[in-house]
Amino acid sequence: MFKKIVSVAFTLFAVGILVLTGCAQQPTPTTPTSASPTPTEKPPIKIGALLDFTGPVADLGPKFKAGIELALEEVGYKVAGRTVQLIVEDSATSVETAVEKFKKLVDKDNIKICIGPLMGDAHLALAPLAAEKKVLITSLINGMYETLQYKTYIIYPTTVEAQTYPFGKYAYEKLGYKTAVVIAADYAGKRGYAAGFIKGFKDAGGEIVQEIYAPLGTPDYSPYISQMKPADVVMYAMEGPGPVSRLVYQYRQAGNQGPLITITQDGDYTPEALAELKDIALGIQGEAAYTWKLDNPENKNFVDGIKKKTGQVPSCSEQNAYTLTKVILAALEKTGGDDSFDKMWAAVTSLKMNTPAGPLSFTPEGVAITDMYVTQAEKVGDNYELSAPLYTVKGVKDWRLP
Amino acid sequence: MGVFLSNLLNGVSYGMVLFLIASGMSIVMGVMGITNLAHGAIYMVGAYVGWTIAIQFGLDFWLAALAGGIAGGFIGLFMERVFLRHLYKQVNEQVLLTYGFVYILTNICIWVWGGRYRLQFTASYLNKSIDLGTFSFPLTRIVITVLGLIIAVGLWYLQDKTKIGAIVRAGMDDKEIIRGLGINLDVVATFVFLLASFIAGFAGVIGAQLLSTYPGLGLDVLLLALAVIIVGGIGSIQGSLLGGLLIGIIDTFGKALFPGLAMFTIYLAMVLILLVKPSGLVGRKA
Repeated sequence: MFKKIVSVAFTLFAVGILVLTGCAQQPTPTTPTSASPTPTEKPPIKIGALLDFTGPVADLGPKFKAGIELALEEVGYKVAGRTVQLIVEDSATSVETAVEKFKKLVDKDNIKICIGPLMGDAHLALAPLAAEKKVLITSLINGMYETLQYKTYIIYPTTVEAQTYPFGKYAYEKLGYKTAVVIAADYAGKRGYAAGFIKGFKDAGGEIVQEIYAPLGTPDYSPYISQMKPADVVMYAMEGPGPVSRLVYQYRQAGNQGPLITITQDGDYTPEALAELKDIALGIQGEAAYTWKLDNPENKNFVDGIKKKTGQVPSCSEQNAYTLTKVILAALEKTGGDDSFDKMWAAVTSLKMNTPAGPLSFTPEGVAITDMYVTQAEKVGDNYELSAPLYTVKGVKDWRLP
Repeated sequence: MGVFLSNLLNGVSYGMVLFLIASGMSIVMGVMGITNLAHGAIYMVGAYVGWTIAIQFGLDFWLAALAGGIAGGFIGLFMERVFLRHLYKQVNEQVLLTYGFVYILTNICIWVWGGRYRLQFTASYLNKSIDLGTFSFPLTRIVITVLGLIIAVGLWYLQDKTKIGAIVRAGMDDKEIIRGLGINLDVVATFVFLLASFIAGFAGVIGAQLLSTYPGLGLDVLLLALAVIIVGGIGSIQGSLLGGLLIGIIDTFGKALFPGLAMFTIYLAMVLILLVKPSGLVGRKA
């Protein structure tokens, strides 16, 4: 009898802990984060967001969310006289999950506008679906050229290849590297970034000695590091801040002192990653679409906003999500609150605006035209930070577009 | 030659981490007939606790490793005493329960430490490389290999040369007779589970010198542990060691020689070995 009581008590206690844990869980919810809607005849405009809160790029989900929320807070969650309702789902760095959540957002929540997801392979899977459902969908950090045929994607800052092409030329012409080894994460997005760099580097006259592609979530890069052939420089393009830190750390730990360069440094060199890498991060130049040290009025306002909201300076993740949200809001103002696809597409592609990352316009195919910068990590006092631009390329446009 | 040697050493050190992860799970499976899918999650919690002690509080690395082991042992004790001892021989229920624990522990880690990857960490005096002619080899990997060997020898000694080890091995074969001899197998079983979980938590911190720490670690490591156990055979320390080393070396060389097949190398190794020896390299036939 006593044993029974103890067993039951234990079980209740354990169940209690489980329930508490479940309640305290980090939310990746579908909670609408809008202000309380004022009673109007028109229902709120819904904007969906597919962000990754779990998986290899889990660090970035909260950053994108902060950027979107800041843009919405600045207009009080209102546009064209209507309330805006944001619905966020976790795409878990997985194509299957992204498709499943997208279907949920479109079929159940009836969204017509979707921000994200991040990963290039998810773009390829979602493009035909979004075109069929007539949903305006945006990239988060660059997009895939192959989705242009569906005319459903807003690609910002530009396609993956176009983003890094000027950096490939810069590495040869300005940094003087003649040969390079490229190591990239093996999925559509980073392969595209690598391809752009490789084309730029080769077009300028350089030679790519070796290309290595490592699966997503590789825990131990040592087999890849040990097989690298000698070259003037190693260019790395891994899937997120975590894998980037791991590769750079393991590369240096194996005794390799040679120069490193990278792409999407603005996304990978988050303040947290820099605080961890410390001196290892210094001296690596990288391509960036944004740095918080850019000197323009929109950026000053934006950096202040993000500092107040998150306590950190922004990386490109917050900026891209913020600017994309502002683009959507500006387009909605233009259409008078009409979020149907054809009106929105016409409105977005006709926009010209100044953003924290610099001037922005769009091609008729929905690809943004933005500036590309070269940055590096620098030590300011005791802090490791991303630098101001060392070099700027204005108005980057994909060479395959008319 | 330098590349071959560096890959071999990398493979051995990676294999040792795999052994550390898998050994506890294998013993628990063999001795207690318990399939503990949360073993990888215990490893993960150990790594996070170790990170907190070593990096957040800046204390000694070995203290962090001990703390990781204690945290692991604590979770193991809780799981075994409160839940698993009621599920003797009910494999389906064990699998469901322990898999559920993976999610609980993963979300606790996200809640407490956030979703971000943590960089590899080690003691400051271990953070250097040894020059071996044409290449440098990180000291941490040597530490991992040596520790793995010490634990392997320790466990083997416990298993083969001590009375408690004899009880454990006999219990694997015939529980009824052991009980009939008046030995309290329950206490022994709990001790084994506790030891296995302690090693998992300890391994979490040791392995964190090599691998990042992140919430997905629980599942990723579970997959590796299962591969090692299947290859090495259930319930055997020698099997886990052999399995771990074999998989570590094959995986490393596979990635180095055929990077295009990188996603398959571990499973290819599993298939090849099982074709030759279906019960694993040192497996006990059921």
